[in-house]
Amino acid sequence: MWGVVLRPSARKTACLTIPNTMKAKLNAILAAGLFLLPALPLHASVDSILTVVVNCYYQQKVSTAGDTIAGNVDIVRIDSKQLLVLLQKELAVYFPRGVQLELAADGKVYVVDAKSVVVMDVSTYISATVDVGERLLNGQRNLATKQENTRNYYPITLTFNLVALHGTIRGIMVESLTAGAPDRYGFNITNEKGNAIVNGSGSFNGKTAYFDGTLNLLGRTSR
Amino acid sequence: MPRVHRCWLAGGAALGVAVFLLGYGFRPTADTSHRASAPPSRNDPPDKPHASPSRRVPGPLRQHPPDLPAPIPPPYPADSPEHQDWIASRIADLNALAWYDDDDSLHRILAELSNPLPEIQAAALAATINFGSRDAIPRLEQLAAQSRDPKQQLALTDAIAYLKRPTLLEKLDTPPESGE
Repeated sequence: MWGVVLRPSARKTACLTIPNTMKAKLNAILAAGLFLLPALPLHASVDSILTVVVNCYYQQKVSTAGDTIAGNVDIVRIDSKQLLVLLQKELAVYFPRGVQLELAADGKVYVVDAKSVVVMDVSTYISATVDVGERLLNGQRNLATKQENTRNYYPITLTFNLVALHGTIRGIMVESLTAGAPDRYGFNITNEKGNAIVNGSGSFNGKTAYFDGTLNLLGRTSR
Repeated sequence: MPRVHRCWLAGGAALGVAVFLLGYGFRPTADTSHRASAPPSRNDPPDKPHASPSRRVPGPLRQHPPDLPAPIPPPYPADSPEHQDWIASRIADLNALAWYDDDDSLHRILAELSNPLPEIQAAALAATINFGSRDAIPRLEQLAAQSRDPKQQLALTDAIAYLKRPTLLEKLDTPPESGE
């Protein structure tokens, strides 16, 4: 069972039935909200496909015999596709084949299909903190033409909040952004490629676990 | 036209054909038939004919296994503006393939491990890891044995080591041993 969930930017198309009295109040709230909106960062991040390649270390066995303690540490690999299967198992949902994990610019994580249509918002179970405000910028961006060739460095944190897998991994995302000249319609094709070496701790199947690996971002959008 | 001129023209034409064929390097044309069955992607590469022969990156030649499709060669010259866009598009395609579980997708990823472009090779290796199948290990081992680049060998052996590890799901499905 799975349903299409609209991303916040696309939710205005959702069909809602709201009484007229409520509509006026809603409009007032929305109008007030516009004034309260914080200034958007200059850099509009790209929604990216998130791949996780992580090793998970945990204590498999400990035994004591006299003065000797012996232990075994087990290593398992965790990747994005396994996270998708784990999500399906734990949430009792079904995702169509070829679905991907997408990290939105606001840190939310979505399951999207191959055409980037959102299948499910899984931010409750996998979420990221992308510290755009702390971004270090290397390279050039033309604010008028939106042409860009930059390498950006910023902290990233990914949190797993599943029954079998709990924990947080952190690292510095090194992101390359290139945007060419606007096309005849005025849109720039932006390519993003990012890689972060991460580590962290948490639990796997109820046991203390340590993680290391990489997070990769790949985005391509027209803006 | 005097006979001497005709001979010169014929000779020149033959030489031109020979130069063209040598310049083209007798490279086999890419097998793009499998692209028809490709899973949907937002960034399908453009179906344009080869604009001009593209430059190959110098490196050790690799034997391409017959059971894998041929890697897709770049259709644009390396110094053209379309070339970088094509590479980005191919990288996105390989990344999209990695999220499937079928043999065809894996074979198409593995094929690109012997692509002449290092960017595509790297993307194919990343896609192989993300695909997560141990079926990729023999091909990775074969390439690691053939490679003369220590960096590439390390990347391939790291990928093999990662894929050989048990997965999170396999561990969850395994009943706990006594004494754990």
